[in-house]
Parts: sequence; structure tokens; C-alpha cells
Amino acid sequence: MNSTRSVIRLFAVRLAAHAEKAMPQSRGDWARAMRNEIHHISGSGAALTWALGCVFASYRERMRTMISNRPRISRWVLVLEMLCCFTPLTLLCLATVANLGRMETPTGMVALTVAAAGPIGLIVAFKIVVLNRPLLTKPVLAALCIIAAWTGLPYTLKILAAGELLNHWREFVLIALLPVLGMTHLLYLATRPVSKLATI
Amino acid sequence: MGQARKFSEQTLAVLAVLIEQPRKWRHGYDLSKETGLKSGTLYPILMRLCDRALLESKWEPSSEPGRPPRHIYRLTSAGGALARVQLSTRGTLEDAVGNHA
Repeated sequence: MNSTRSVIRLFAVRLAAHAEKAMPQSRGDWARAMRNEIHHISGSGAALTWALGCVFASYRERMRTMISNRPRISRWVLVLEMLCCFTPLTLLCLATVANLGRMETPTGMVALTVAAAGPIGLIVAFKIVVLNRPLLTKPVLAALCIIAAWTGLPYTLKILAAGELLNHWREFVLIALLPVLGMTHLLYLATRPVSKLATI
Repeated sequence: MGQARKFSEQTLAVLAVLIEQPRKWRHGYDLSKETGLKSGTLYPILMRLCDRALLESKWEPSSEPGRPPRHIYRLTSAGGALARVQLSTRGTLEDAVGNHA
């Protein structure tokens, strides 16, 4: 009987220790408070009930933190993401500049303005992600929105109108989808300090 | 602003126990026994009350040797005032319902 009680108590203590680990770091004191309390509870059953409650409370706090906090993304992952999103369009921009003389002026200008989102995106990403300088001014944010829309919309509308999405999905992804996604993520980052979001 | 929010029944139960002796420090387990709340319900309530500066907490070394220190709690003056208001509102409502029945 005594051994059963001691096993239950040991299990309760282990559970409380698990609860302490599961609790977010910001609530460390509370986790320790719940855990310590178990050593002042005399009955094994009561200790086990207490420990189960501790686990429940810790998981609940952990879920709250996960839901309310911004995700922490590695800065290197962000750099890689931005390169994937904007490099194809940057290459297109360079190709457009190199061949500008051979294109009709309106077509060349449209291609150039659309492809300009590539280098612009890379520059903005460099400032936000690498230099950790979020761009918070409203005109800059508005300009980024316009650039994203101008990059994504014309090509998407053109390809959808022609019904050629299945044939040209790779171009669609590289020219419209990835840059727009990248720009949207940059806009999200631009309203938040990266130091709190990214870790190296 | 946030303090005007209505508390849950469980929070009111914690406040009711704490307000009985507002200056007395209480242990978590004692509060759990007196309110009938499990630790999984009690501690999140205590955390929120502390976050809102309605409750103060501190560590107390254990009187029994070999046992870890305990976290103890009591209402702040703001917490006491708010608890009185919330509990009197609940009392008034319960009276009104009782009289109506």
C-alpha cells in the first residue's frame, strides 16, 4: 500500500516537473510555485490531482503564448525566403534592362516596372531582415503595397484571361506569386521590430 | 478599463476567499481547498490577477526543513477594492434573482 502511494507521489512529482518545463519561460516563477506546492500536499491522490492540474495550467499557458505571440523565425530562414521570393524577379529585371533597346517602349517599360519589385524587394528585405531597420512610415508601406499589387496583378490577370495558368504556372509562381508573398511578408515585418521576431 | 470587465464565477470565488482576510498571505493549495478549484483552474486565475496588479505574490521559505519555498498571495489595495465591487454586484444580482423567484 505504501509502495503504491510512493509510486503515485513520485509520478505526481514527475508530472509537476514536466508542467514546469512545459510552462513558457515568462511564467517560470508560477511554474515553480505550482511545483513546490506539491511538496506541501500530504495525500498522494491529492498530489496527483494537483500535478495533473499543473500540467493542464502549463499547457494552457503554452497555448496562449503560442497563439498570442508572433512566431520566432530564424533570420537565416528569412534571408533565404527573401532570396527565393525576389531573386527570380531581380534576374528578370536585369534581363529587361539589358534588352530594353530591343523591346517596344511600352512593353519594355511595363516589364521593367513589374520586374523592379525584385531589386526593391531585396533592398527592403536587406534593410528589415539584415540591418534590423523596420520601415514604419506610412508612405513607404503604401508604396510597398502598390509595388506588390502592380507586380502581381497584371501578370496574373493576363495569364488568367488567356487561360494559360496550367501551361505557365512556373512563370506565374516566379514572377507573380513569390514576389507578392515576399512583399506581403515584408509588409508584416515592417510593422514589427525584427529583433523581437528573429533570432540568429 | 479592463478592470470593468465582469469576472468569471471561479475568479469571484478566489476573490471572495482572498477578501475575507485581505492582508493575510495565502498559499495556492489553501486557496484551492477553500475555493474548490483545481490547480489547473486556480493558477491561471492567479496569474491574470497578478498581471493586472490586483494580486501580489512573494516567496516564503518553508517552515518545515527540507521542503521548498512556497509562493504566497494576497490582494493589493486595488484588488481589494475591485473585489468588493464585483462581489457586491454579484450579491445584489443574486438577491434580485432570489427575490424574483
